[in-house]
Amino acid sequence: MIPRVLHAVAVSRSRELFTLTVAGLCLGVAFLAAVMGLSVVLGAFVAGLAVSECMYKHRILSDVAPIKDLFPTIFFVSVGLGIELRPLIDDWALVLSIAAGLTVGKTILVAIIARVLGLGWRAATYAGIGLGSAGEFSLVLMGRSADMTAWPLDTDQSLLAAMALSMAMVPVLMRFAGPIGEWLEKNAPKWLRVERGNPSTHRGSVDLSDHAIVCGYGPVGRALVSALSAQGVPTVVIDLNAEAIRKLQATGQPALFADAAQGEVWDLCAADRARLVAFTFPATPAVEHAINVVREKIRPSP
Amino acid sequence: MMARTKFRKEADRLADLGADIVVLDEEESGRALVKRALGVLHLDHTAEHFTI
Repeated sequence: MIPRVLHAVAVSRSRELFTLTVAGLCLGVAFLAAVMGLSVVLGAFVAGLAVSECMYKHRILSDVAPIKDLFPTIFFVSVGLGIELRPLIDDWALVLSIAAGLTVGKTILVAIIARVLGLGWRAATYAGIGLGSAGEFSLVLMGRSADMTAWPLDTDQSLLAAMALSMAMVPVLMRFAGPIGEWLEKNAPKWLRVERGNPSTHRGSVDLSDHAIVCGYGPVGRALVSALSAQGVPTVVIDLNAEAIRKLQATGQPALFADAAQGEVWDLCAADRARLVAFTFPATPAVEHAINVVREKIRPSP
Repeated sequence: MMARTKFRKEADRLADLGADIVVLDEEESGRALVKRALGVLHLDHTAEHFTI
């Protein structure tokens, strides 16, 4: 149902209405979950999953990008404020054990999953260590478990501290991900050497290089895509016309329903590896803004 | 008679009114953009390789 609602709104081509609809859907499903006696967070999580599976995910990601960095900060600061130092000092061995066990166990598990999905050892190690800490959702679940007094209050504090510690260790451990991955590439037993696949194609992101990015799929955009494709140049189309994007995707043409003024879109299009970026619509203010965004992506300021 | 206009509908109207040649801005600039894009990529940009 959510993709249908989003499609109906996307056809209107109103940016404000689209953003409001996405926020309304997420809040609405969260509220519905609460009414049904489930967790509000679980409801929001399910709504997020549904939204992330639809063709408008790139546009939604672009819209929420400016605020997505703010909320995790507030969340983690609030979690950090909940940690009491005294139990942490008294039970330091327990806290360290839980943090080490959690991080090592989850790192190995994620790395194995990444290998099974076809990633190389280096990428799998990065994925394992990057996702090896306790996740945000586990903190939410732990909060709910504590309400149900599943364990004593002091254990709750130790778990919270261990989770926070596992998160804090990630930036340090990430420095070793490259060397560990390279070592594994060379020294892993043969039976563990799975052939590399191409994971990006499964996720719907664009895996291209030396391609052309065509913004706008009006008559000029169509002519340009057709001319480039005829001469063997791969293209990616960006447009806010939902119907056009849907038809293009159905034919296998890489196409994003997205706003060219949003930075994340250019990451998805691999702008740093593109040979050409063409704005085919004559809307100077929008193109001015997009050019600035692209320049930042291609040549990041020091 | 020759005329110049921005949009297709206006071009058709001018042609109906008797203009022999109507230069359509959108079409001309679009053709120029495609031609330049192909040229930048060192591809064949002769007219038969694209239509607008």
